[in-house]
Amino acid sequence: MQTRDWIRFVLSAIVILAIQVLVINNLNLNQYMFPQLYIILLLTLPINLKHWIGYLIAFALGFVIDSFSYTPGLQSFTAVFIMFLRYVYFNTVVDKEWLSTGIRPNFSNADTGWFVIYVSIFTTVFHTILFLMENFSFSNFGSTLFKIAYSSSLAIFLILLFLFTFNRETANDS
Amino acid sequence: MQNLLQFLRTNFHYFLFLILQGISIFALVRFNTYHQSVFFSTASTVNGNILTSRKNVINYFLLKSENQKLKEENILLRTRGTENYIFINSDTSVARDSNRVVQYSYIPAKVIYNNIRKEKNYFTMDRGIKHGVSKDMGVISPLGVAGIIVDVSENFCIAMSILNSNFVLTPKINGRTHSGQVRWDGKNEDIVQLEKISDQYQIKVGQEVTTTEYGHYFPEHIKIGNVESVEQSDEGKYLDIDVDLATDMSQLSEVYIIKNKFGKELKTLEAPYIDAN
Repeated sequence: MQTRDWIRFVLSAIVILAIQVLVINNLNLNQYMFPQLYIILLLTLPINLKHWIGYLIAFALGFVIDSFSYTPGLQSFTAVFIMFLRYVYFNTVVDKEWLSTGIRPNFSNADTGWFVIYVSIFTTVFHTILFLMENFSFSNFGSTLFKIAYSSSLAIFLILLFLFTFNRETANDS
Repeated sequence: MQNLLQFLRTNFHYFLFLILQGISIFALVRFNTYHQSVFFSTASTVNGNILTSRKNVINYFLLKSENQKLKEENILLRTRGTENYIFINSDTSVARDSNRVVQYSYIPAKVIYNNIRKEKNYFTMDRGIKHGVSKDMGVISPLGVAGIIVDVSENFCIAMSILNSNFVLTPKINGRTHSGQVRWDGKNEDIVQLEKISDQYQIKVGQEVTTTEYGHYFPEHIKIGNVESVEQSDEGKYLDIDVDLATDMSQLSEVYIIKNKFGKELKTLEAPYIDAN
C-alpha cells in the first residue's frame, strides 16, 4: 500500500471504530446480537500484506475495541487469531499469481460469489472464537450458539451492505 | 549464532503472533473477573481449597483497590449515626446499657466464585457452617447490598446475588420505607429496578435507596444504590424506577455476611401469617 492508502486506511479505521464503539456496541438489540463490524478493516487488508504488520494492526484494533468495552484481551486475541487464519487461507488455498497482485478484496476486484463466501466464513469464524473466548467454558453452550448465529448473520449483512455502499470509492482508487 | 538469528528473522511473524496472543490471553485472564474466576474454578473444580489459596495470590495484587474500597467504607461508617456503629463492633461493644442487645453481627468473607452474566446469578464465599453461617443471612460488600445466602456447606456458602431475578427486597427511599420491591430485570449489571412504588410519592433522581428490616436479612440503612431515573409506569399508579447499584457486582471480593440474632425467631413467628416468596 502507498502512503496515501495508509492515510486512507487510518481515517476509515477511525470512522469504523467510532461506529462500532459509539453506535453498534450501544444498540442492545437483544441479548444475542453483538455484531463486530470493525473486522471489515481486517478482511479488506491487502492480500499480500506482511504478516507482522497485519498482526500489529489486528492487535491495535482489538485493543481499541477492548478498551472501550472493558474486556481487555478478548477482542485483540480474536482479531490476531483471525488474521492468522486469513494468512493460512491465502497462503494455502489461493493461487500465488493472484496473491502477488496485492489487491484489497472487495466487490470491485474479486468474484462476487467468492467474496460473499469469504466475508461470511471469516465473520462467522470470528464471532465463534469471540463468543467461545467470552464464555471461556462450554457451560451455557446453547446461548453461545445463539449469540454466534445471530451476531454473525447481522455482522455479515452489515459488512456486505457497508462494502457495497462504499464500493464505488474503492473502485476509483484501484 | 548466525543461524539462530536467521531462524528468528525468517520466522519473526510466527513469534509476533504467539507473543500478541500471549499478551491477549494474559490480559483476558488477569483483568476480567469473569474469565479469571472461570480460569481458577476450572483449574480446581475438585477442591475448593486450592481455589481459595490461588485466589489469595490474586487478591494480593488487588490489595490496592481493595484498600481503597475499605477506606471508602470507613468514611461511610464515620459519617453514619452512632446507632449503626454498634453493628461492626459487635464483639467489643455488646451492651452499652442493659436494655439493648446487639441484633446484627458481621462475619467477614471472601468471594471465591462470582458470575453476573446470567439472569439468575449466584456467588460462592469461603465461609460455612463451621464459621456460623446459615441460610437466609444477608451479604453486603463494603459499598452496599450484595445478596442473600441460599445454601451452606461445611466450609463454603452460596448466595443469591442481587443480580438475580428471584431476589426481592423492600426498599427505603430517602429514609422512608416504601411498600414496593427491588428486583433485577436481568439486563444491565449496574442497574436494578424498583417495582410497585406508588406514583403519589415524589421520587427524585439521586435519592439514596437503602434497606429496611423487612425480611430480616439486613439491618436498616444499608445502601442499595441511588435513584438513576424515574418514569411513570405503563400499568398506571406506579412508578418505574432504575437504581444505580452501590456495589460493583463484577468486582465483588471482600464481603460481610450479616447474622441476625433474632432472624430465626422472627421468621418462625411470622411464618403462618406471611406468604413465603
